[in-house]
Amino acid sequence: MKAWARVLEELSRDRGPTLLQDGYLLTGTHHAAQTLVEDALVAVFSRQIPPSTVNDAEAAMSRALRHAAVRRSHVSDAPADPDDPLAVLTPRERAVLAMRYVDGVAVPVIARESGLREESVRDALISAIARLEGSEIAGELSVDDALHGGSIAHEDTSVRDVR
Amino acid sequence: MSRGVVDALTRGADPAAPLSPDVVVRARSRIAAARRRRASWWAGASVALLAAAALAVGTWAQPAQIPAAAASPTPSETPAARPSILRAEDLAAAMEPRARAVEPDSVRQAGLLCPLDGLPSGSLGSAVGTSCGSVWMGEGRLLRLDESFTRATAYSFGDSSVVMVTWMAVNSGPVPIALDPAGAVVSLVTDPGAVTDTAYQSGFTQVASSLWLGDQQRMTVVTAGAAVAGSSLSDVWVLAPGESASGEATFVSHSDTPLTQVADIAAGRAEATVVVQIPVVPAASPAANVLLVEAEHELADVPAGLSGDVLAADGVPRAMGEPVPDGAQAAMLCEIPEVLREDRELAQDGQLTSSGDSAESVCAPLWVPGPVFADHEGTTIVTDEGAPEDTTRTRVLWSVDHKAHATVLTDNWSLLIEGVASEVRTEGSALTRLGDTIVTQTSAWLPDGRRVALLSTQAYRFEMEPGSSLGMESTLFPGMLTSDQPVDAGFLVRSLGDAGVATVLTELPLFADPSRVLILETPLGAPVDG
Repeated sequence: MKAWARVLEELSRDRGPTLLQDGYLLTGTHHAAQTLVEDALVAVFSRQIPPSTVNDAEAAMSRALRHAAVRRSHVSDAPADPDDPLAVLTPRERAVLAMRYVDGVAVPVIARESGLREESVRDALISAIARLEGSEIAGELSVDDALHGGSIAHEDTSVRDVR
Repeated sequence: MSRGVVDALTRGADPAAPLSPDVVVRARSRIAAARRRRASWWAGASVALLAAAALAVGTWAQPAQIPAAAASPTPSETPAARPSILRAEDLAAAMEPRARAVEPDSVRQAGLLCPLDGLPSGSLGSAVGTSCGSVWMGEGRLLRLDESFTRATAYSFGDSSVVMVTWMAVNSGPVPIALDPAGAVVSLVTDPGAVTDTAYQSGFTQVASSLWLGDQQRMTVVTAGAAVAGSSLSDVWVLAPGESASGEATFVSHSDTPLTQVADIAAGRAEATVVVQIPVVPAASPAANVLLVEAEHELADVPAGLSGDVLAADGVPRAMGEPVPDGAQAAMLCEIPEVLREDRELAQDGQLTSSGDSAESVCAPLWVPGPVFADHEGTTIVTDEGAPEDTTRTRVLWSVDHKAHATVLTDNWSLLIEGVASEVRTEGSALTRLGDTIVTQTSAWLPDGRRVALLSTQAYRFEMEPGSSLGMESTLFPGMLTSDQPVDAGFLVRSLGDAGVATVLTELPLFADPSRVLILETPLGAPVDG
């Protein structure tokens, strides 16, 4: 078996649930998460020099997932959950909001991880907050906190306790 | 403060949910295809195929490994109901051994029967060089390489030789056939009737003197992914009669990994034959064998192309405002920014379509031997009338003629509009992408005499033949910016024919140094009435 295929197999087996959960947080649906993980796997393992260890692959996947999540053009084929206040967001808005509040990182880190310009990240956050106005979580969101809060350090890992 | 936001974002998340096996299978297939297309990187190691040959010989004695195979030594004399789509089982039902240098009594389809037993377990998606039983199958020829379309061009520079193969396979049978494009193998051989034991393999490409390993065994590359049922493949070609599929492959020989056959073909010392082997999709899963249809075409010649490497090597410095010397083409030699290289390689392999990241590169202006390209008849400006303000757009129509004597391999075409071409770039000014056009209010010249280019991750590699022309329509979308700089598109359009200049930029890859790119610059004349 090729080395890349072996790493891919081990990554999918051992870290698959983590990658999928990461994808879910960035997209908001299980279907979109599966597609996102598939696209990120292709991006990471199609490189001229693919990752040689599972840990390297997982770190590369973290960035590839974020890179792909902010560039998705469709939310999902699945019907939106009427009780989900975030269903009104575009894919990019959902992804940057997840990075800002679940990853807990600041705009420059989001920009670096997703490959977007900081201006684009700020635009997406502002737009997301505007769309969520009147929702049950609107009171917890402020443009100032979204744009200026968050950590400027980001651990290259997608393993996190979301609860 | 944001607990509720986090709760909303994590609602429905299931930390234990497993990744679907289908996701992994599809990803493997796509990765394998991507890596196959990265054919310019050659391992250079000989493929030890003799051991595998013995396995194939043993398996050939039991061709009924393919599900539903009747193992009939000759085509059935009783016409069976013709399948609506030919699959592996249909063809395996009428196979017979094919021997080297022995023609069948009637025209039949050449193929390979490759056992999957013995391949490394779990090799799904990976390319494995192997030996297969050579067979005739079906009735009549099913697949042929189009002789007018299938071609090759050789690019040579120093110790490096590159042969670019473009092929087209046509369904020449009466029934649609289901093929697996991810498993298509493209080979370049110089002595197709000989027997050899050495080949150079990279992904799904091979270089050898011949593909014959013995009188009944031929080499190929298989992936276990080709053995799964068609419904689970991410991409299946169903070619109706007369329909075609095409592809490209790059074969590179350089000092680190010299490939004799590639160098000989490029130097005109050997004739080239292109062989394409494509797996036929089976109906049942899993299959014990892979059945490939095979078609080959001996190329009448392999013309020498004009390499970006050669042009760059003969380049001389160019200064701002210098008149064009006789026999010269304006160009610039640019370092590809590190941040773009990886995505750009994927794009060159056709694997990246969504990323449009761009970055500036400071380049050395050159005169290179030319002209390679020339303006056809200036630009034509077309502005959409009556559109709402925020959707108003302007289109610049242009075309260039290929003036050089040889085929040129290009990676990217774009239009550069410099608002005041005779002035150096002012501080704070930047190149900006408006749709598919690059613009600047001043010029791309720096005060130190160098020029700036805006490179992107996008690449559309194709060859342009001598005497041909390329016409394009470059659009200036006012809202699509790559920088925060406000752009006055109206000013730029009005500047053409005055202080502004529109220039077609053509990126040429450098095989000897993939970290750089040569950009040919073809200035366009003033706008003509549209």
